[in-house]
Amino acid sequence: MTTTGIEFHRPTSLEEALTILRDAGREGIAKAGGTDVMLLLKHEAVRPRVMVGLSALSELKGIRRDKSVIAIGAGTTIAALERDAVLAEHAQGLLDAAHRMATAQIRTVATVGGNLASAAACGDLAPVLIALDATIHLRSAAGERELPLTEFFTGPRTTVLAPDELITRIEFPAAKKRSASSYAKFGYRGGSQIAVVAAAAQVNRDGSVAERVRLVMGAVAPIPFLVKGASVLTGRPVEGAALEAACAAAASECRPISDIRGSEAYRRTISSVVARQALESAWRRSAGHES
Amino acid sequence: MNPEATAAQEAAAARRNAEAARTGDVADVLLRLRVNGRALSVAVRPTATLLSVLRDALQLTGTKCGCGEGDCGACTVLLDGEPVNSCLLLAAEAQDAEITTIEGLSRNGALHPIQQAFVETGSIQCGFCSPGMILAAKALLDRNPDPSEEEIKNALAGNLCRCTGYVRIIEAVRRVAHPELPRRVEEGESDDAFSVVGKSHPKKDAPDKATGRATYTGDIRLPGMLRGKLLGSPHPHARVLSVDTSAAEALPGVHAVITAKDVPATTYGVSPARYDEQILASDRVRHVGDAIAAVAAVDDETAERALELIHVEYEILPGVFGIEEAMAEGAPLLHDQYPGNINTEIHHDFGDVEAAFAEADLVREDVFRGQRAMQMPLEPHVSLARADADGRITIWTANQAPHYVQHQLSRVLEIPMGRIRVVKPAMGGGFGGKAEATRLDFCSVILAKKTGRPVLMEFSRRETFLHGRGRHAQVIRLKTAARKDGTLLAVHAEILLDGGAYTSFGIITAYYSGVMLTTPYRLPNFRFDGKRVCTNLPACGAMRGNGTPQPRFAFESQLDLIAADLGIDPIELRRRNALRPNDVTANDFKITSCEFAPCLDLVEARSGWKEKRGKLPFGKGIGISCGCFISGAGYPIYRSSFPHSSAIVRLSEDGSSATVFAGAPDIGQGSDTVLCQMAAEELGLKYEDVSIVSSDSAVTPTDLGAYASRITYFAGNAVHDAAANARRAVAEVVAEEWAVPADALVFRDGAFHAPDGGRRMAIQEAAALAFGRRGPVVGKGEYSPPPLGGKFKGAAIGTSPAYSFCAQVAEVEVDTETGTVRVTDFYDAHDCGTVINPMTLHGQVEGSLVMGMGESLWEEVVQKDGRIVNPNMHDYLIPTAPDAPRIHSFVVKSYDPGGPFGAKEVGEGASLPVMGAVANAVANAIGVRITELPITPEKVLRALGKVPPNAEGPGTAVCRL
Repeated sequence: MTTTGIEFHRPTSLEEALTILRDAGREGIAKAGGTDVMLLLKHEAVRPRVMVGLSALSELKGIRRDKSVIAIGAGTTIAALERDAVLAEHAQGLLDAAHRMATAQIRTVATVGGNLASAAACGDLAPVLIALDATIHLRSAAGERELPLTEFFTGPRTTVLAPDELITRIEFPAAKKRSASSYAKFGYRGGSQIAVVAAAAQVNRDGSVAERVRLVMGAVAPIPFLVKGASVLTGRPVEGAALEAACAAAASECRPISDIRGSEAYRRTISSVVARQALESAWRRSAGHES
Repeated sequence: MNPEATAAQEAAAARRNAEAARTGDVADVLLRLRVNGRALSVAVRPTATLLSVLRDALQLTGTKCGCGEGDCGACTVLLDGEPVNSCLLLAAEAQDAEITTIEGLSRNGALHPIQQAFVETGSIQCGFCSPGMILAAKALLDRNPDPSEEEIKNALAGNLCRCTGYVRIIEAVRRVAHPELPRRVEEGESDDAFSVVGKSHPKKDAPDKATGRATYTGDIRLPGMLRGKLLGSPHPHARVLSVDTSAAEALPGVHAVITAKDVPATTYGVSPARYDEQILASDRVRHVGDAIAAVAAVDDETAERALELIHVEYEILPGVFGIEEAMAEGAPLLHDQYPGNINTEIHHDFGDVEAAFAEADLVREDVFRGQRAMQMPLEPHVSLARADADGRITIWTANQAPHYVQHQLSRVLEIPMGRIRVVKPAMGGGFGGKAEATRLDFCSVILAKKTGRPVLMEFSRRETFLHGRGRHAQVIRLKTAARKDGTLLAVHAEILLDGGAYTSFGIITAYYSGVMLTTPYRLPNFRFDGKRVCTNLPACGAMRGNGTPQPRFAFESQLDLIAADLGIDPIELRRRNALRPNDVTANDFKITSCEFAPCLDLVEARSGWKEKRGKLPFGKGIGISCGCFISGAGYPIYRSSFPHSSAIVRLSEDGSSATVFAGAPDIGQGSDTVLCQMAAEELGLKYEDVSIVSSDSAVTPTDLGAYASRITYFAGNAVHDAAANARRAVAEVVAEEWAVPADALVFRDGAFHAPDGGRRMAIQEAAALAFGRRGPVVGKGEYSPPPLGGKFKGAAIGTSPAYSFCAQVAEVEVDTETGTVRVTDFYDAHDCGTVINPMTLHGQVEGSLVMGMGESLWEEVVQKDGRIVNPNMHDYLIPTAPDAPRIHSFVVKSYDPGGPFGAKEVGEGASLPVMGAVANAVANAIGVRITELPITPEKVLRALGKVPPNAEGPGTAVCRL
């Protein structure tokens, strides 16, 4: 890694950060926890002139519940997600993902915004957040915008984020009574696992049937995607033939690549297995969810 | 090194450097940090990582760098009590936080309870992961004082360890939470036969490693020290047309740039028959990373920028990237001297194989494949050289065989060995990957001579892959004959090895791959045809077990197939064929002590084999596999009249202590500790009163090195001999004092006794007396094995003065939906002679098992068109703490007449059977046998027919049971 000539800024206000990024234009890069950006730098995949460290921006940190909406600051670390009581109640799927993401060392500094901005196809948070109907809030010196998270990703490692723009927060509706989310991930090792196939599910239960099911697959397409065929579960219990049909849809709708972590055929084959794990877990949780 | 720098990157680099030259680099910034409770100010580059600031600016070198990519956790420090990878954190971002490094844990010289527990449980081997691991454990325990086993494993999942298999580390953390737990009684703790030998003493170097005080090569900071880097080829095969270093030389901060024209043309390597490596490639590069130039500069960044400014013109040549491809008619040749790319060819034939095949009730022919794997010690290769003005050289090198480094430096640079001092400081593991002189050794010396400054050169994790020397990929065809009672009659082994671009240890590896198949079962007829093939990939070398684990996997897999064909229980089949004491194999290996059959009995009983085999549900399996390994090689790597091991033992002037001086390198395996135990035993001293200086050629006599599992036996014998001679020197003075014949004295309980039983003099008092009378009290010792082996070509390989034996059982659970294999339990019963230190012995076994598990299930160096796809620790998957199985390690009673106190090896032997045990257990679990390593989830699922059969993907070679 040669970082010679890179200016490093560590602003303490969002305004200041956005100004620096605006002035740097395409030569600027934002660094949150840095667990991804530092690797890009080390591998010389990026060679910025200006790097803006976001770790001192306290206004980007924290998890808040405002009535029916939960907002997670983009600078919130994964470790903070893991220990958050609000999420434990309203977004257990996010905790599933946080617990199994990378390593304790990475989770200490890696942030929600950084994880989304890196847009790795195997990213752990995006599938759950999409399942939770999240919107993403972006800001630049020129203004703010928000969009559904589904519209944020444009391909592996690419997003709609402009060079001078930062993610400020993620919002999603708090879980209603009898609804629950989950995240299932398949990887090889017991620890420090990278998703080979991942699935997130969100189930709203109405008595003995699902009123609404969102199933999102990760790592098996250029970007996480909602499984259309999961709608077969609407108005049905998440079990039996309907469950199998939803899982089969996950497998048929995915577009995995063959790489060192698994062939296309293998990923497709186990997509239905991982989808089922996520759906069953969310369904089970929705039965026990009292809030 | 930046071998794959593309034109675009080069252009970008040139632009940026031009800009830096115009504007000047960004100025250093003054950071205020709180480290270990102290406020500090340092001026650093604004983008300096916390790791570099800790190690270089603050000289807190207890924090290690194992990968630089946040994968290994060796750089873990605490930031406000939370663990972070300091390699990924900018120091500027740590300014608001309280930073705790390993140096901040022990207060007033006392070990922190976690450090204490790591020392006492044997959790520290090479120690390179220990500081990070201990800090990760501290973060856990501070938040959760009584974690469950699962919580411990998860908290440590970001700290990779390659030595211990994690089991003791997990136990250490549990012991901190529960100090009331009684000390574990190690299997094989000896009765009272010896005082120090046979006891589980904590390793000599463990406290220093636990506190970050141990100095590894990369931790040494000398005044004026420069950093060196290598420029590697971005192409797998190319002619080097020109090299222009002028821009690099002009870069401020660069002290020297060298290319082939600046270094001796003499080639080097491991085996004299095949010295085929150049210090820097002159006209041809044969793999990605093959080095062309080296740079010494004021710091790493400047050196890397200089590499970018070196312009190399290549003519790209076609390459070969696999065994079959390399052997094909008309394939591009790597070396003129290896026609057909055949680097080594072996034909052995003992007994009458054809007659045996004709006579047999059963003949099976099966093909197996093993993968290219890497040792992955946590510490990458590193060398530091200093050239004195009078021409003397000192090199500190993380090397398993410093003597061979000295030999090669002397040979190639034409400097007498006596003027080259080779020191091996604390070392972060090797496993065979650091057993030869490297470009870092040569180039650091040449650059130090050229610049007059010390030069430190380290490989990045990626560069360790490009340097290679890992396990050869092998294709193993076995034709085996048996009688219907299970008696093995003959084996014909045809083995092809992918050697990569150079020979390295490869001739030896190729021989080992076949010749050890005559153990641990009686085999009267044996034929072996082997070929090692050159490909345009980094050279393969001697990884733990050197060539033998994959053929063991193949043969042990085939034995289970034979057992099934004949309807014989797999353990019973092995028992019927077990080697016995004093057997001589078909290829002339003379077995001395051999308690192999008792190993089988023990592992059968302890694993509950009879209750489980054939009675487990689908998806659960149990498998057996066995092995035999040498206790040191019968012959040195190059012809030499030197003793294989030698040592000096010196008693202090006041007689209170002794120091062992031995060339034998402790690379983390614990040889310093067992050698001290042996000396203490012989001298009647306490373990604590014996220390060791090892692997410093200025003061320690030669030892061939830490390879071939030779140190306990060879260096142990030398130290035993030296200690006995030191004691004899003291005895002579005592005899003189008492006016009795020296040989009439009785030595027991640490004291000399007069023959009449009346007078007694403790060794301490006697040694002080001896120093007063005759000066320094020293004893010297040496060991070389007797002439061994047959007269045929290659007869030397596999010879050893003693062989160890083991039997292993693995239990697995297979998730038949995803194909995931989880090893739940390993049982290992070992015949390693007398156990010198049960705790470190089991540590070796545990580490071998978990390393072997990784190779069984995941590990593989994957290449595409000559480029390694996974040169890192997140896609080359070694086991993590959550993967640690339960391990049950046993020893059988055994005594080798030639070993020190009756001891034999354990360092590699336990790694041989693992892949076979896992493969046999998986076959038992799912009813299908996978014949290609690693046994990945995808292969399992394909074997089960759950992936569409025509789908593209990895090999699907299976045998139906």
